Amino acid sequence: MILDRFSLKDKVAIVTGAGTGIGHGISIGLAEAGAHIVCAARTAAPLEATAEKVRALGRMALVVPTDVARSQAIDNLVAKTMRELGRIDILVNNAAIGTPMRSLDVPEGYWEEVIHTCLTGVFLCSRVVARVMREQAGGNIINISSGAGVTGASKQAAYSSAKAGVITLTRSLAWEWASYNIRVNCIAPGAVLHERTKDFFSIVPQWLDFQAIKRWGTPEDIAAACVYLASDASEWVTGQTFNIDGGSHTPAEVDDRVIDAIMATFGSPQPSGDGGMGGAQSK
Amino acid sequence: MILDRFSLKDKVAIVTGAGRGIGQGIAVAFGEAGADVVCTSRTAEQIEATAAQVRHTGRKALAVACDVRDNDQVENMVRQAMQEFGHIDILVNNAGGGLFRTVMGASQRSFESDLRTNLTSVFLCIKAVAPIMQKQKSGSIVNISSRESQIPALGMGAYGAAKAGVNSITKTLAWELAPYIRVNSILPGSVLTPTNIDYLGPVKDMLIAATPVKRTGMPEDIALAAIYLASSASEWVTGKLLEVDGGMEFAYNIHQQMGKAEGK
Repeated sequence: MILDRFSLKDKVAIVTGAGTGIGHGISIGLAEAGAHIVCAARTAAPLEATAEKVRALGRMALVVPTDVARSQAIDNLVAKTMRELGRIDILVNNAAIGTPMRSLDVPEGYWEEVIHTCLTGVFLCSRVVARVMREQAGGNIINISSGAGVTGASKQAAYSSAKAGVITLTRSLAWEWASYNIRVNCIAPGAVLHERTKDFFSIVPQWLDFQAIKRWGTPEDIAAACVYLASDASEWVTGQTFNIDGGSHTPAEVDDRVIDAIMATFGSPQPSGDGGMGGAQSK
Repeated sequence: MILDRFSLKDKVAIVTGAGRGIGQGIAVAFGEAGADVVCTSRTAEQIEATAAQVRHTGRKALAVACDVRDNDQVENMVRQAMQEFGHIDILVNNAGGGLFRTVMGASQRSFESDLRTNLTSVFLCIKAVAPIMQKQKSGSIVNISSRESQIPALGMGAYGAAKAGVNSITKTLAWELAPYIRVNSILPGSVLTPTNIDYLGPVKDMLIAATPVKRTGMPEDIALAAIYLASSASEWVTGKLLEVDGGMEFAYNIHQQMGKAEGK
């Protein structure tokens, strides 16, 4: 029965940035489709909340605090997953950081930190997990990019560049690892509303004008696309980037008033934090 | 429950070019996913066979012979669909095709014929169905384009140009028909079907060698993507192009080989 092809029954999925926002939504969505979830992110408490919801769906959940910018943490994440669950079928590289900022004002070290978390982290996680998947004779990697990576985005130089890199990395790894039966695809979300973006979106309602469908996205919209890409329904799809964005084609402008409002509300980002804005920076 | 979002239960879908190949695959898959299906193409025998397969899934099917290049026939087909089912929730513009020839070897007549078969037909079907969907305040349109729309379409230049037109009109109509109607396209790669087996068959091994996912495509691969786009799983997706092609990019040597096979 064709709808069975979308099932993820008994698959093991690692989701990075699983504590909040899109990562949380993806974790729940994959679990609803039948997968066990390894919840990874820097902070343990939100991961516990995600894991609770996964277990309430009757699936297993592991909580592994992980900083994807650090190789050792990734090795630990994969080792723990293999010890407890014995396999890795799906990796969702969702963890990201980034805050809209005038490029002339970006503090020292910030560019490198964004590139490292959003792009290098994707490569590092993928590499460690792919070694496991190769031994298993197959696997599935889904990278979460952004509309900003597709079109570029004013005042998001580092974030948009890193996310663009993820799109091309997806294609390169897809071609390289196809012979290991590993598929690699990418989702570029548009403006997705969740607890960490809702305050920001409340000051830019005009961004909806840039979309054909005039509502903010939900984590479930992204999760449904993940289910398609993670399942056998898409077994002939690799190297692709799906733009899940309410029908948008241009980046919305972040004008100076908005930047000033962000600074006033959230403060400027600290080099080793995420400035309160977290990942999934809308476009 | 997220998997419920992929269901097409009780939706009514029109699938053009449903007599065989990808169109037949989509029609039957939609039946399995819960939809009633209007199966249309020029050949009554073939769409009757597809309709029988849809009914075998437990859903209803209506076979209507129609040449989608002709506006009167399109309007008549849509009228019959409405008479039978009372609503149209999904339109899959799959009918299309073309003869193997270079652009320089085409005549004005053959060039315009390829445009009419592959692009104008999409326009005519959407013109007929969209007003119905607007009244219903809901609908999903899925255009079957082709990977040839984005690469040098050697030996299929007019076809590629028409499909590139389908890609463009997908994005335009997504804005014109928002918010109630979504419009997206699937770009299949090398799916071997009765319509193309004559020229893809001889190069099958080369196609597989050039495809990261080492097989040619099946109608079911396209049907599954169509289920995603037709269902509420993709309710925030419009104006987008989904490439379903095993990861293959432009393989110039295959096109040249096909050209040799056709003596062009």
